Amino acid sequence: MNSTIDILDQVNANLPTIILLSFALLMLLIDLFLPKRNHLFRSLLAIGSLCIVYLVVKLLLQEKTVYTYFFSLDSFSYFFHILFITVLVFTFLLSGPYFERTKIKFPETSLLLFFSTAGAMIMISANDLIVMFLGLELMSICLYVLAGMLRKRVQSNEGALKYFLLGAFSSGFLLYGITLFYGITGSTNYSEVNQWISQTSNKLSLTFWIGAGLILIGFFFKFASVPFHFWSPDAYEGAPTPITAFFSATPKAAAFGTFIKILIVAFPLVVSDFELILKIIAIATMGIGNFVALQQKSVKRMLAYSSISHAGYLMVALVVKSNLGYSSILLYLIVYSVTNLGAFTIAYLVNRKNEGSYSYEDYNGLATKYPVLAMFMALFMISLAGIPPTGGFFVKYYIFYSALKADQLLLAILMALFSAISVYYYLKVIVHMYMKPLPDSYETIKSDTHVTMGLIFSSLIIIIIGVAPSFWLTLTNRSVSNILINP
Amino acid sequence: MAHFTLTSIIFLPLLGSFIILLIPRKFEDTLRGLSLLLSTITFGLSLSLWFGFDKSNTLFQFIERYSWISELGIYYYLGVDGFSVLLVLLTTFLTPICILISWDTITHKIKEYYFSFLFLEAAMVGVFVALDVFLFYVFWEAILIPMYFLIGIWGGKNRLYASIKFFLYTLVGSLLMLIGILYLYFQHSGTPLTFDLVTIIQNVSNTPIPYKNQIWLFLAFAIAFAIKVPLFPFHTWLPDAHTEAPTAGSIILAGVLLKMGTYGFLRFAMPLFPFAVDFFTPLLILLSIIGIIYGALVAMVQTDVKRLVAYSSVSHLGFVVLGMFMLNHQGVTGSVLQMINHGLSTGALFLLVGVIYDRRHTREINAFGGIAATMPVYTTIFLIVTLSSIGLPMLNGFVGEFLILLGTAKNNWVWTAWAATGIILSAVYLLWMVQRVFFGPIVHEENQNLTDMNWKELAAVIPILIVIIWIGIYPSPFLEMIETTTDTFLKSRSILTISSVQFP
Repeated sequence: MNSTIDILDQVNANLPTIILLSFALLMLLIDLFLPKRNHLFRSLLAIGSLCIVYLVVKLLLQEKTVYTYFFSLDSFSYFFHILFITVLVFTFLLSGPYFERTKIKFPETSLLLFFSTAGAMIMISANDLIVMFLGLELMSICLYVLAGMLRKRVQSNEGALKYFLLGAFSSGFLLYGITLFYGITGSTNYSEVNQWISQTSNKLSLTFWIGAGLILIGFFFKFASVPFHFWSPDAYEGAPTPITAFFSATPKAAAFGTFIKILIVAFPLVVSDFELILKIIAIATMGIGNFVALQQKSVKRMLAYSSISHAGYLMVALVVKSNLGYSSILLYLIVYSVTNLGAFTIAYLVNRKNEGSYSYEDYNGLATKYPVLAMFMALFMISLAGIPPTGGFFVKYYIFYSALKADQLLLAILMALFSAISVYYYLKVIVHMYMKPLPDSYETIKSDTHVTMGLIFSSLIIIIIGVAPSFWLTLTNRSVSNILINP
Repeated sequence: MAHFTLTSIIFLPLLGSFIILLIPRKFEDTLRGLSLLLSTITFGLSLSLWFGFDKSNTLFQFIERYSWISELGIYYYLGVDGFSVLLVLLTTFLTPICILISWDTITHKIKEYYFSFLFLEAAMVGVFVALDVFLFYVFWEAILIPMYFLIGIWGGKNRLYASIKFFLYTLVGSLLMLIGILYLYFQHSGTPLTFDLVTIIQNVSNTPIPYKNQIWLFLAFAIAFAIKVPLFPFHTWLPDAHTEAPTAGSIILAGVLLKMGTYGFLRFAMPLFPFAVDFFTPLLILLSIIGIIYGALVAMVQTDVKRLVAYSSVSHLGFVVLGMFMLNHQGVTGSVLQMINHGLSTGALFLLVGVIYDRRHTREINAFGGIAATMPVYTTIFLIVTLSSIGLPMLNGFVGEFLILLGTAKNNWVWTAWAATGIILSAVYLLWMVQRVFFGPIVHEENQNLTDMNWKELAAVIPILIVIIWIGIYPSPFLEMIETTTDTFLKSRSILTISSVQFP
């Protein structure tokens, strides 16, 4: 195929990523001249530069599409780029008091966050398995470090190590799968793999299936789907809470986005062969995620397991294997990321005594003392539980919708039952906030205007998607159906 | 002509609930007054339904239809007919009363309380006027949150258990209904796919849904509705929820929320799945008769007045379901009227139980006795409401129950006999309770100095009393509103049943 590399195109296709990275480096430079403890200015700087990246993506490029052998910049990549930037903006908005409290070094953290976002962006726009792998590794390695940011805490170290070891394993699987693919198809480019499959259909060798299986396993690790989920609760629990929020948003979205792109571009002909395995894993993920979340005593761990169950719901939409299902995943990712960012923020705000307990009891009487905060948390919980009129309901409904359209009645019913179970543990937080008496000794919660702003924004997004989803539906549908496939 | 009557009835309380959120919580009386004012204005707005409703019109009225999520065929489609118009009025009528009765009794988290109440009102009205199945589901589910808060925050001792039980019970039912709704949408809503109920009903009457599908779909809908009603054996959440809920919560729960289930049968399950209705009618009649008698028998042995009233709801709602599945004019009309009657009578009973509870902080029947001497006004009102609940002629309960029994008698004498037993039993448990609470000598010292009802309580209960007597003496305006729709409902069914003869 046409493999002449036009440097200019290549640069164009990566413009958002390049701008993001240059800002990250610039910030590192500026940092040298700033006083030591000035989180506010630094996070404002980060948010400002992200806004510039956003404006570049939105205004300067104006949805211009570029296709090259290694990368493509299409509406699908734009969607995820903007999602990642938004998540990062939210992370900076919402994490101020945490950095203040735990004395984690802000410059390093923000740099790692920028880099892993860049990795995620590369993953999404990649057109080639190897390039995708590079993006994935850039993202993951930053994440391993971020998970262990609380160096003096054992849990953080344990979580980071577990995450690193299992993540390295999964990367190994993925890479081995890619190698096998290269061995039999002679290429790692998505479109060329697809072409090869269409030429040799019906006679796909065992090696092909092993390769495909290994790639799937690599992604299942990243989704944190059962039985490859063991790293995630510990990594989530050990990581600094704003970083946990970031974990549940960007890497998950990047993994699902990339997987969708691979399914659409590289595996459209064999995708139905994956149905059974995806189905089994989806059911297992929903089941284990929900049942284990029920028994958690720490809100942070509960949110970690709930994020496993949400991966299960997303996999239901993957089984549907239609553009409708994929676009429901995109919509779900928006709502889910924003909600989780908010929920984890309140989790760390509330947990102020000893880092790491995050017990439900900390929430007792929150509504009496901090009604606004409690109301935000209630909204996030209701959205995660999927009850109207929140966005969480609409996106869950949209997955039901796509599942039933594809005649996946069993999956839809199971998903309905599991999400009914999930309501119990989300409501438990509300019970503690609103229905338990205020304890006698009550420390004040330190928040700042940034956090309030971030919470207001995220609540607005949740409610708007719940009430007026039309615009967002069009957006996600367009993003999925306009993936560039070797024009 | 575009008019926004129904929209304004939904959105005024909704808007109000958000205004409540903006008012600082130290202005307690402003919060109370404002929500009372807003809900009264809402009631005033809904009166235009009463006066503007065309009693001879067989179609939906006050229609508003706009595309909401056009990609999925979802409409913002509102309208009322004879089945729903009175329920809307009942909702807007009871809400100000609930807010008034909470004035002195709710003393903590006032802001959240009135927010929940106004939000609840908006969602309840929404349930009764939505003619788009998706919109209906959104309102149906949105009710859960404020109701959960009402029970869980301002409820009694065992409130956490009761609120979670209420929530999970109803949620499981409604999620199955959601799947039913989606299945209906994909398989039987015609082309283009739509959630518009009127179009769907038209489509399924042209090309009936296959028998087997009807059975499953009916089950998916009916279980959700049966839990809400609650029909025996899905009733176990109700006594707990009622007992633990604050007074106003119980009034709204008994008065309006339970009617969502019976209304759901009439509006969705029965017109959409006529063959399945034929198939399940014997079972549903059996369950409702069991409910009538079982509810009455269990009510008889209760020692807690509120729990007794809660079980009496199970019994009375049995009548409502029985009436509608008679599928004749008297049965269905009586059933709709009985929904309103039950809302008024049982609502008033809960209100009155709340009054005595506020004075004594107990509801045990044994703790009372002889309070007729200390609270004469209260006793009189309580007796009138009790008699209306039993179904004494000249009071509202009689009209509804009589029509239902008449409809039942048209079909089957044995059922009528069993159902009538329920009325006798209701006289037994209610009057026995009245006797033990109000008459006889005063045994407990605390009952010597009870104060009679204050003006707020009187202001809350007297409007209900007026309507109770009005319906009892002159029910025609109410019946006329229902009857045209009943006839349309039965006619469309008979057409379907005839066409079912040709159906393999």
